[in-house]
Amino acid sequence: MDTADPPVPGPSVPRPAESFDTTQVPPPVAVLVVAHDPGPEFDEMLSGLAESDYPDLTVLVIDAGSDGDLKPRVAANLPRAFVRQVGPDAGFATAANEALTSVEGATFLLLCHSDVVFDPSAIRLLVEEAYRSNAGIIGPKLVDADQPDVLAEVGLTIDRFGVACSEIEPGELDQEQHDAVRDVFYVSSSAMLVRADLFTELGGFDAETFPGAEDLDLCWRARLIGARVLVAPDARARRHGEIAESRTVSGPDEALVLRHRLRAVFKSYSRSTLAWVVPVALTLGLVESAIFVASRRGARARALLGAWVWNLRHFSDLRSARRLVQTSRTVPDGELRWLQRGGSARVRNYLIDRVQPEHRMVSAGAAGRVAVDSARSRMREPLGFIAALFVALFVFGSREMLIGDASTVGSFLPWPGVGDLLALFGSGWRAQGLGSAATPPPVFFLQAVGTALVLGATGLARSWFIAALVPIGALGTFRLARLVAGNRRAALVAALIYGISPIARNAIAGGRFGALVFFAVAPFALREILLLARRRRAGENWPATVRAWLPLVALIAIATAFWPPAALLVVVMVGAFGLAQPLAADDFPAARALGVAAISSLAGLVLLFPWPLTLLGAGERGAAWGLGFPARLELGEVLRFATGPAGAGFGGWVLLVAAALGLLLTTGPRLAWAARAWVLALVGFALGWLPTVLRPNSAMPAPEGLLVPAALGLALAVGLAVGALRTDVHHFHFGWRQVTAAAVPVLLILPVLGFGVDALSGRWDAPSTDWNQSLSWMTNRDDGGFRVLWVGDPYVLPLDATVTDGGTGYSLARGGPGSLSDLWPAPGGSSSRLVGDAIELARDGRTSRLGHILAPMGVRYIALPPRSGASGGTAARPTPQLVRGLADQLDLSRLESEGDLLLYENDAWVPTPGVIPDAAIGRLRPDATDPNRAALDANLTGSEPILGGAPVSPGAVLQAESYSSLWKATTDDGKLTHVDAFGWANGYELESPGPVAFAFGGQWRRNVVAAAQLIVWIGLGVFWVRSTRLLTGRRERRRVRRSERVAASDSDDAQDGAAQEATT
Amino acid sequence: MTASVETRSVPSRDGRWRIVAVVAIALGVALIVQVITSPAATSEVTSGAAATIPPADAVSSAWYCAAGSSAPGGLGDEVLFMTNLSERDAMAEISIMPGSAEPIVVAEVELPSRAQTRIRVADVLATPDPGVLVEVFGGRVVVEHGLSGDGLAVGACATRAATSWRFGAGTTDVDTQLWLALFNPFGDDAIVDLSFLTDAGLETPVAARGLVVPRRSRVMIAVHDLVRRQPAVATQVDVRSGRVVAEQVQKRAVAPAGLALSLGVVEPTARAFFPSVPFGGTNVVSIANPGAAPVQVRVRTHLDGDATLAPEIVVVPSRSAASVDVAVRVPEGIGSWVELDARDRFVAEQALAVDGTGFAYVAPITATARLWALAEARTDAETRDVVVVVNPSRRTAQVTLQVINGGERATVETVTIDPDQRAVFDLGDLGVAVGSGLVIRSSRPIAVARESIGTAGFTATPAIPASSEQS
Repeated sequence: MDTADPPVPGPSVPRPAESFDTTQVPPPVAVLVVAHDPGPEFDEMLSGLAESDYPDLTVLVIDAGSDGDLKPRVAANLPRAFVRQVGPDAGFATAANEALTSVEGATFLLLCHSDVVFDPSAIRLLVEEAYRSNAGIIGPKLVDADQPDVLAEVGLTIDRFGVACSEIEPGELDQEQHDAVRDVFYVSSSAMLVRADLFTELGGFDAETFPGAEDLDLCWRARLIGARVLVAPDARARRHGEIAESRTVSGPDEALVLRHRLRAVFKSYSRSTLAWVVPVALTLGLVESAIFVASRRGARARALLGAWVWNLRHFSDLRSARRLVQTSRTVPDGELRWLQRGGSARVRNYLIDRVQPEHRMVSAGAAGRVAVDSARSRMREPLGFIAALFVALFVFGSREMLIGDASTVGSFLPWPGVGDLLALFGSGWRAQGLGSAATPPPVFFLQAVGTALVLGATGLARSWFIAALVPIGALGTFRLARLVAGNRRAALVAALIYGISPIARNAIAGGRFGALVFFAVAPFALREILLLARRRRAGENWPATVRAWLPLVALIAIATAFWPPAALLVVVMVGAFGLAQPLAADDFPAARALGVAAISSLAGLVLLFPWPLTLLGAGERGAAWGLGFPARLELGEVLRFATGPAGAGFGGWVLLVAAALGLLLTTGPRLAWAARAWVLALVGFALGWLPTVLRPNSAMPAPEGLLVPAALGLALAVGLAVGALRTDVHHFHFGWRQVTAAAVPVLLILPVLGFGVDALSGRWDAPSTDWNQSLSWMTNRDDGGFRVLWVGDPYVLPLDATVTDGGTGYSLARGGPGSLSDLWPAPGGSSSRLVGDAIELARDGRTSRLGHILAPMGVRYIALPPRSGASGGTAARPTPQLVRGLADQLDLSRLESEGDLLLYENDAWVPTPGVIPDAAIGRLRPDATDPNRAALDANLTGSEPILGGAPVSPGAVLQAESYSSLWKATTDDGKLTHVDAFGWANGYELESPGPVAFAFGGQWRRNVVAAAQLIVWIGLGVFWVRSTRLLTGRRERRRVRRSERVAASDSDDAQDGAAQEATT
Repeated sequence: MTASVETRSVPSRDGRWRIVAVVAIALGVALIVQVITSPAATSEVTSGAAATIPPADAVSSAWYCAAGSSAPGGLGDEVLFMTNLSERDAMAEISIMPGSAEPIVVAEVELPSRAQTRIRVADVLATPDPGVLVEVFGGRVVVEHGLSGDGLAVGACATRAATSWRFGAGTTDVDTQLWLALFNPFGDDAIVDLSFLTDAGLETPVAARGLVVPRRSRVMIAVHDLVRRQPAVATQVDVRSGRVVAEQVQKRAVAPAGLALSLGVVEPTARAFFPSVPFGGTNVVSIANPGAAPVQVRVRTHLDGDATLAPEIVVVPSRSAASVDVAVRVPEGIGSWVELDARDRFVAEQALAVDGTGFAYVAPITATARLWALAEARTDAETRDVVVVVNPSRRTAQVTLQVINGGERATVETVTIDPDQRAVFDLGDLGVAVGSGLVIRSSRPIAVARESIGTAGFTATPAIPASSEQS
């Protein structure tokens, strides 16, 4: 060995231990310790080496520019060790490469950091295993020096993109679970035993890969020439400092680590592998950078992209290094894949971080194991099994929606892209119905946000959003029931009953988006109201108050945006609790809760401003308020929630019986809550049924939404009944209650079975082929703008139906069978009743020319669906009078259509916008007092469409949008004379041929309002995030202070105990 | 979190039963209310009547006159009778659809308030197969059409098209012709299947399958060529696509010779009324059973006065037709009317013949109404025209006969009709002029028909009812 400094005297190397075979000459091992200003652990490390039982050990300490002299410290522990100094700029790799020149005659090199303390037997075990397994590189098991029972490292691997992964979790206890000798992709440079000849052949470490990837690079290159890399966990070393310090990608050297790993990847992969790894890694890197930028972590984004730039700038050097590696390669990449981890470790870690932000240090493996263990233990309980069964059944029952796409039924219409949704939100003119200048509903913005979150996958966003609402509702019920019952078992049953409620399935089958959203939100909202009603914090500052109320207000706002009756129903639900107060006879603050509900509902509406104001102008058009269904549910249907294909069985009655037991079995506070739950249920039933009795066929909101309080009330009552089985029933003497209690679980089987049967369809009885699919040909028509009039049973109509006085439903779609822009009826002013009146005329046999009446509205097709979809779906209630009325119209021609759809084409249709050539403006009957009569009498034959910028003949121009003075039509000659055509539409007089352009003058106003809305929402969002961080910080500080107090208290106790003991 | 909403006091044992009682009472009351409120009251009721008086507030109404001809040698010269019942003038567009590629001829006709307007189709367009569409704007108008030539036949035009039509009677015996007029006034072609119920069962000739009725045209089908030599033929029209109006014309060359015109019904019924039973003739009710199971029809012949006849039970095999001679059981000189009812649905039609005068096929009245009208009260001054009103209800009905003529509506007679009784108004005796329309109002639902007997022939037809909502 060539030493620069004289050997330092000291104790001789220990003799071979008893376990070592002394009959053979032990292979010499040279230990290279790289130290740079080492701490006290260095002395421990040296003393550990001194205590090693390996017989032929030579220690060389490489002093990488330490400020102090290390020799005295080395000499104190290992007098025969060598110390060699290198420059302060030399990293670990460069320093360790000194072995190439400074060490001779050694069979193995033990390369290690100065903070690693080897067990006495560790080196011997490593050498033994190296021989036994013919390892080229072998590493020990590293444990935390301060907590030796905590694992630090047992070999490492990488994903396909060179990102390091470990098999162990932070804080994982060493229970010998990793003690098998095994191949690993690489071992840490903290401590690695390398065959000396191999190290020489590899040319030592690549200094350009330090820090962060020198060990990976060395082991990878060793692997590529056929050497094995092992970990021998029996050999143990203790490591000081941060666990996996060198692999941390968030430290100050993050940029260096990233670029060095990328270098290792570029060097070691074959060309064919790089062909796919590079683009994928680059894409992932870009996405990750975008996320970092969005989350204001620009430094990390720069580090990520900088790694690529750095390697490009060092391309020539990289190419040389790569050539060396690849020319010596004997092993293809494919043979090493089994040592790598599939997928992207960074994506995985990111997801773990998002899913469990409070446990970011816990990896998915640990979380998964905990979850599985927890689930396993809970699965041993029957109720846990039922919950798991519900989730499994729900996923099974939604499989066609989740895998494919949700049916386009009711208001489940395809979502356009984010841009289109934002355009809908920002539009000054609402295209719904016959058009309106009303403010668009904020729901478009919410949908845009949802779509953006799934990177524009609109189908995925829609399907998963719909499917998720039911479990979300069940989760909300679980939390609500835990609050009121204080019992996990009761809460679980309540959640189950709510989750399997037929109204949710019927809402999916019928496409009642708003009702489904309310189904999901209502339990959460109710829980928040109960909590706020109990909240008494005098002197609380306003930000804390706002933060406390904000979730509830936001929930109500979201539910109301999707379904306007939600704001009122929340108040009604809490009002039901107030009604129950005389029965419950406890100190529940009913009035306060009602106040909270009212205020939060009002605040929710304010949050949606100015959209709620436009609803005030809805007048007779109840559809704008969500009143789109004729009241016709009978009591039996309401009590069983049989509003659609689900719930028609016996299970609904059984549920009532089970809920009744909640009143009979509970005692004390649970009885009070059972009373409230039942009154809530009764109020819900009344909401669904009374309109039928008081005013049959009058328009009411979606029954599935109205019955949410009933479903929630019954679920709570059943949950309370189950909760009482373990507690309250014991208070009674043995009798009928005990017998009845035994029947509760049995009673629940029937509804669950019904749920299971409905799951077989895979889409909860929604049609497999929807009308949008079978009528998709309509969208290909290019002979002028048109509308489709859907008419018939509102319960099966696509879009949001409007109900006429006679109970007939109708909805208008523009340019095809329906799109999202046709949803959420807008107040339509004077034109809102026209379509309904026309339909009533035909239905009652009061006209034989419906086509003429609808012609100025641009209605080209009239469709009467027999069910909610072309194949399958909910069957419509027969409407023979309407069928006959349509059949008797002389200007409607029947078209063949799929699925028994009654489809007519309007022979008198006028394209919109269109022109009646050579017609005076009077042909459009300006200022007509009876628009439908005027349309009947008008002669609009020969009308031509106005398409794009094509020139049109002079004549009367008809634009079938509700009249607004803000509309204007212009030609090359200027603005056209604008009239109120047929008393409701826009008409213009075109005197000379030319292209006609239309523009709505109210767009700027909408832009201002939309911007104001966004500012308010973003402001609230920022406030929420900041206050959350603040709150989390405060909580954390409180937790730390509490811990400190507890620790201090423990310490004091211990001292007191010791003192007391001494005294004794 | 497992925090619970704490409560200081709890309901007592009595409190529990108070809660249970409130819930039980609420559900009980709801149940009672549900039972009381009839769900049927909210359901739609439609009758199978093919012609009804348009609602008073109708903005437009259409009348389809399928049978008839406006060319020499055709199947009866067709005349339209249009009576405006309302107080305001109306306008009618009469479209004559000649079929094939010939253009449709449209004539606009003013219909003065409370007056009858008579238009001979040939005056608008002479064509052998005219499909006549009368569109009325602005008034409450009823339309009938009459065929004359080899006899006399008057009947209401249809106010609806349908996808199925049923006729209860007809014959293809020697010296008779049975014609089926299929009228498609719409813009899409109709494809029609015909089938025939006879006393030998169902017949579905190949030639009667998939018949195309082109858009805006009329097609005449010679049933006597499809089903030969059958004494009783009940025609069924089923439309595969589109919708049509069907009317049947029976022509007879030997005594009782003449023409008979009948509008089909759009669906089988479980009850039927036949008010017309002229003296001195035959009265045969034909019953067809289109169903898959035999139907047991009770035939009740109501006699004037206190006399009664036991009901006659007729069993009609499935997909078959049967006839009942009602007249043989009626004592001579006593007026009568016929009512049919059954548990299952059937199609009935009445075949009347008056010796030496002619014959008529009368479509059934399947629903009663409080308001009836006739566009044509009297065919000419020489005929004996009577209106027969029957009261099938359980209460006495106050019936008023009003004449519409010359811009006036005059009440000519008011009578009281006991349950199951009838009243006969002889229009000649009442001084009703030719060219008048009639309105019959009643305090109870009634059934009304008209008979005309004269040198030109004999005809009988149901009056035109108002729909149930208007009644």
